[in-house]
Amino acid sequence: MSKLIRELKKKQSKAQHRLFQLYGDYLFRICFRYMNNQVDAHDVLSKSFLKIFDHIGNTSIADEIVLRAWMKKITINECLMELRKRKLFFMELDLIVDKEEAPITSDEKLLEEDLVNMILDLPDGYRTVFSLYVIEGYKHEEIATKLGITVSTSKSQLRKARLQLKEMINKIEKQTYNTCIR
Amino acid sequence: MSELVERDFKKAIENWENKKSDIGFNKDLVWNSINGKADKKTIFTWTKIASIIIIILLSSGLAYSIISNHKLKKEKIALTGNIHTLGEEIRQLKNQGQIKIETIIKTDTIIKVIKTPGETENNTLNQLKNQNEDLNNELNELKRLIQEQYNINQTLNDSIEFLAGNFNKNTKPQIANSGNISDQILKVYESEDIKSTNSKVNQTNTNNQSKKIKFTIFNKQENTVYKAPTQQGIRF
Repeated sequence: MSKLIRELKKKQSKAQHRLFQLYGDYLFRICFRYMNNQVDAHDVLSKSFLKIFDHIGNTSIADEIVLRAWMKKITINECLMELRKRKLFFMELDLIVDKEEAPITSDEKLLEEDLVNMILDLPDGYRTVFSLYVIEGYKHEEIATKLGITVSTSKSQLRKARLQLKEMINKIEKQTYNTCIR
Repeated sequence: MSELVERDFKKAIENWENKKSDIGFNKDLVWNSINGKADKKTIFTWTKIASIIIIILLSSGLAYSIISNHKLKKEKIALTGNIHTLGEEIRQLKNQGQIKIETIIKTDTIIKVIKTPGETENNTLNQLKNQNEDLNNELNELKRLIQEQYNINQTLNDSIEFLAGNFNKNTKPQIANSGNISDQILKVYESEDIKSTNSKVNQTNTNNQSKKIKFTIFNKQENTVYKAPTQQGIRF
């Protein structure tokens, strides 16, 4: 891997293709999670790889884990930039801004596939803020800065995302309960 | 027992992202797009470099022109000073030149004075003209007199011829009849002087011939000489 990184720093075309083959799927899924459609995910992914190829020479990356995390960060930033361009996060203003919804709980063991689908089914704004806050671990201030929104908006988006997810989980739980009774 | 689901979400997403299953990812499309953009980027980079070079060239040209302009301004100032100095010198030279020109004009004037006749010369010329006219008048008068003289000579010749003829016809026989008068002959001499004079007059005035004739009558008996009166150059 270190050889690949060296070659990438020299901007060798073969190394770039190799990196694309290795991490294309992974980064595409990240793009897909944020953009929620293939066309936009393809577009953002190509932009992300170009940025990766351009800037890898300026980094001191020598480790695969670091490289992976760095590439993920770049890709997420590209997604956020694209979403920011589209101004998706100020669709609705929540008046109860400071009141956060409690984390989602469930008595049932949910399937991974269901969880992913639930996230992907969320509206763009909810999904993005939820992904950044819950999955990537950003704080509301960071999310606000990255998306160009206020902290209150970020909080409200997260709250709504949680509410919606809870509803989804409740639905699933009900379905599971009903099937068990039968 | 309630379980925190958000961890599950995170875990599920991480696992999902690491899966290799197909979710409609078109690798070729993305790779071609990356290469195309990279080519475009390369072209853009070259365009950038070219534009930077052009900007540098233009900037250097502009700088050179500014420097040249500055130099030219300095030269212009210097030349203006020189022109000013030269102007003053020219003024000075002009004044000197005017003096020279004036001198030349004076010299020309003197030459003209020499060339043009003065009052005395005019007077002399007029006097000479008058004298010439007088002489012409006298000459004409003389010509007229010569003509008159010629006419008189003609008349006299005619008269003399008539007298001679009459004498030979009438008087001579009477004298012969009366005695020794054979020696009495009326001779008409033309003196040589008159001849020469007449010839000269004949040359000048062809039609106005004049003759001085000496008319002498010899009488052997009485030796009497009759002289013509000295009127108009005629003597008997």
